[in-house]
Amino acid sequence: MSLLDVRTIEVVYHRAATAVQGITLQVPAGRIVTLLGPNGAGKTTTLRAISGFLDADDARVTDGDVIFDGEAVTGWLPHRLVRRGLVLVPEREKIFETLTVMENLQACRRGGDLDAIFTYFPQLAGRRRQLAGYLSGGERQMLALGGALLCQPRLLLVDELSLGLAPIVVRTLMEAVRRLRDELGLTILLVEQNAAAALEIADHGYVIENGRIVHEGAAADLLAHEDVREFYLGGARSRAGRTYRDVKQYRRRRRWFA
Amino acid sequence: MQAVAGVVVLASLYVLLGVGYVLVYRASRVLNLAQGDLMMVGGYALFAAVTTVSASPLIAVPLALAVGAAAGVVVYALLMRPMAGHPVFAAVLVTVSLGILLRVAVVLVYTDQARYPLPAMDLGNPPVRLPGGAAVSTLDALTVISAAALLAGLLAFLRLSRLGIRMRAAAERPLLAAQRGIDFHALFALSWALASFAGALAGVLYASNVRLDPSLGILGLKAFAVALVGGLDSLGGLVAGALIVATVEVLTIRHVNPLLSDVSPFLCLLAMLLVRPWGLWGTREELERV
Amino acid sequence: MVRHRALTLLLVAAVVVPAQASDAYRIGMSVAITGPAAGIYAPAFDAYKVYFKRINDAGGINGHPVEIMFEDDRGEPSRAAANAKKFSEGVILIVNASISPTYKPLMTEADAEKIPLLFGGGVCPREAFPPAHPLIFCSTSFGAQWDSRFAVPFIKAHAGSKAKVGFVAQNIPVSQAEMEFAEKLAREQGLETLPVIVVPGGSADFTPFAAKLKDAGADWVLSWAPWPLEIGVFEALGRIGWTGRYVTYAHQPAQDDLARLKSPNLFAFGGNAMFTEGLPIHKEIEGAVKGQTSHPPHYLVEGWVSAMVLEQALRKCGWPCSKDKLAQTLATVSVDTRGLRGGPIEWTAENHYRQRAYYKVYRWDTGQRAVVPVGGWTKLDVK
Repeated sequence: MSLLDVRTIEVVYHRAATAVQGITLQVPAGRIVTLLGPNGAGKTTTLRAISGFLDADDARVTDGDVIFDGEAVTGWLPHRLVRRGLVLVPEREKIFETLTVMENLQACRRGGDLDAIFTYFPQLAGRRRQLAGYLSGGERQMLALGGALLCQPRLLLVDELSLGLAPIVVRTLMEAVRRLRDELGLTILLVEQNAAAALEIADHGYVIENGRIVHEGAAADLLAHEDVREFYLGGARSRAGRTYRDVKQYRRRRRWFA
Repeated sequence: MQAVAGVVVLASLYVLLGVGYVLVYRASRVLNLAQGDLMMVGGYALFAAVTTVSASPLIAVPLALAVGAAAGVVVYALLMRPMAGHPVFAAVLVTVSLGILLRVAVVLVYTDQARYPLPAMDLGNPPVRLPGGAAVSTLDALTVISAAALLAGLLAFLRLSRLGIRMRAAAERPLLAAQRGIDFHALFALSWALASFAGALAGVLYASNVRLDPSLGILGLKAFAVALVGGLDSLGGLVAGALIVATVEVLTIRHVNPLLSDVSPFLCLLAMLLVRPWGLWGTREELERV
Repeated sequence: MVRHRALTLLLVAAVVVPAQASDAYRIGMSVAITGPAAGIYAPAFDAYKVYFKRINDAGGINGHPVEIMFEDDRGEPSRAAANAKKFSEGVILIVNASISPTYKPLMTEADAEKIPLLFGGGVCPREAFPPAHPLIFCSTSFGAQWDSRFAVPFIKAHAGSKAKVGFVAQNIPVSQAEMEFAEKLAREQGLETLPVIVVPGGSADFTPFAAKLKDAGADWVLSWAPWPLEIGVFEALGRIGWTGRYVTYAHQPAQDDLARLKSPNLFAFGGNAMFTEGLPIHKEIEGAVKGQTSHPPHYLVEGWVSAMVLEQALRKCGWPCSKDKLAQTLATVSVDTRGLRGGPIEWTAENHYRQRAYYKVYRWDTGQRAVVPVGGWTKLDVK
């Protein structure tokens, strides 16, 4: 039984533009599921659709359902979902810059064990009184994760954890995420452009393109998949060279009806 | 010395009114141009309480303040919340209309005759002697004390309490706040309640000290200029702005030309806009919103 | 409030304007029923309504009803001009109870059509003083220069020669000119004077101006301006602990604020007897206007006196009474004000203000816990 069950949802912005369509995915409890895809594919929209839109976003889930722990939560406001244990770490604007590190951590409505956070993110411990706006990229991400964790989530949605960060920092963060699953039994849906890093810790993965899920499978299978390797993992296809025809047919090859 | 006392009293009144502008703006980026009329409503709430409920100030004053705070919540729930997602200037226009409506409602019920709640409560307003031969009225002194207490209370609340942290969080990033479980609509309603409470307090004090009539709202306009001078999202700047504007106003009356008294706050504002448009301690980026 | 007034206007028009009767005395009244100054002048509208309804119910004057066309000028000159145009057809007199910016358009029209103009409520224009304009008449109790000619000697008599006198005016020409005049008069009479302090009318806070007076060491202050400013400055002075004496013109709300403030240092002087004296005429007015006005009865006194003068003039004019005849008649009236003023209002060809101005001073007496007169009527000959 999946903790999160997304069934063929469609999201429309400004009552005019369909951003994603027919998105179906499941996140089993205690697992890390990753959602891969290029820029503008609809990954963030999917996460926002699950974690709730505000009036100001002018976006609606116009079809399908989001089932969280057996309860239909489609269209719920974000703060209500947090109380159920569904927490998002957004891609941008992920911390309160005018608040201190400590205040950022205290912001969440539900409140949890602060000291535990510092064991996962020791760098934050020394910066409690510092204004969050002065933190480095990696520290911000840690603070964002820490702040979200203090909301006592049962399902954590993470949007682009690795964006703009150095590989070593990415590794540290991914390691922390893995520990969250292993040690706390936390369920995580991880949206990533950095497929390699994500697939290393994920159990299962989906690929989304142009607003639709085009591929899914166990992480190991995805890692081995030809097209995934070519488009997302930087691996070359097993051909000796590339003829003009190969290059010309590149786009046509991007069909995922495998 | 009398001049100094006068400056402090005037600045205190500006602070009480200005708090309303700052709180609402910080929370929701809305310019609450009905703040002056909320002050007027507070004064009339006191008068209504005194004449219909109880002439005892111990009952009438808290009642008037409660009505004032409740008015803020009602205004938020009925008028401002539906404006969420709409452009900010539309919300500002709503506050302008609200101010007009409040004034018309008051005139319909009470006419524009001046009213005096203080004698109705059987209280006097004797002068308080200060060093240097100066004197202020008892209510003047109460105004100063109230402004200081309110400011201290607000700063402590915002800095130290969990609710205050959440309010600041919601003011900075409403979406992220929602994603951290904070119901920012409730917090916006709270900031409106606090704003109208402060306005009602100003109204109660002023109506008892001077007089009560529907044109009280004009003070709100002067206080708005003061809030802009201080930086619309800064409580500290508000105090500084209030002291500066009050000083300019009092000195202008004494030494330059008394007819410039009502204009002084706006002259200060003009000067500030030329030199430092985001106000004394306002955040630079707020400039675009205003 | 506006709706109430408009409705009343219609009803009144139905009562006081019989179906196009040419056998009535037709009078036009331009009054600030609404607008910022309505608080001061709208009572005159009520006063005229009640007064002439009584007269008409009793059979009119010389057997003919008095028909008054009421027009709201809102205190705006353009509206007053429009009202004057409306009146020019067939009225024999125009009454004005409004602020001074409305005077010029009315006077221009009155001049053009040769219709007499009676000011009953607003400050008397210069043209009513001797030598008077043939068409301009004024029954209002307060008048420029004459009021100071009473107040300054009063201050001198009570203050002694060592007193420093301050002067407070509103930023309108008539008030400023009067206080400049008073200051000069005071100096001539040997009093030590402070420069006139001009206060913007719309000020929410009079404290800085009061502070100026207090710091300058004023012992006595004279103020001649619309009532809200007069009393507002006094209250501000009280709040900052000033203990001097304040002399000011008693406009219609004066008795209420004297009773509210209970200060023995406030002297209000005026041409009208305050209703606190409870004279028979006061009781009569209170009875007559009961239920007919939302204003306190004493707010109607200026309008009432003006209506008394008009009644007398119409009686004397007889029937038929043309505008020319009425203008001539007005210049000969002697109206017994029955105690509302200190004496009769007497007009001559030269003097359309009054032959004698009467003043009485009132203050709050802490012993008696009441508003009481200070002495009796003082008479000034108007030349």
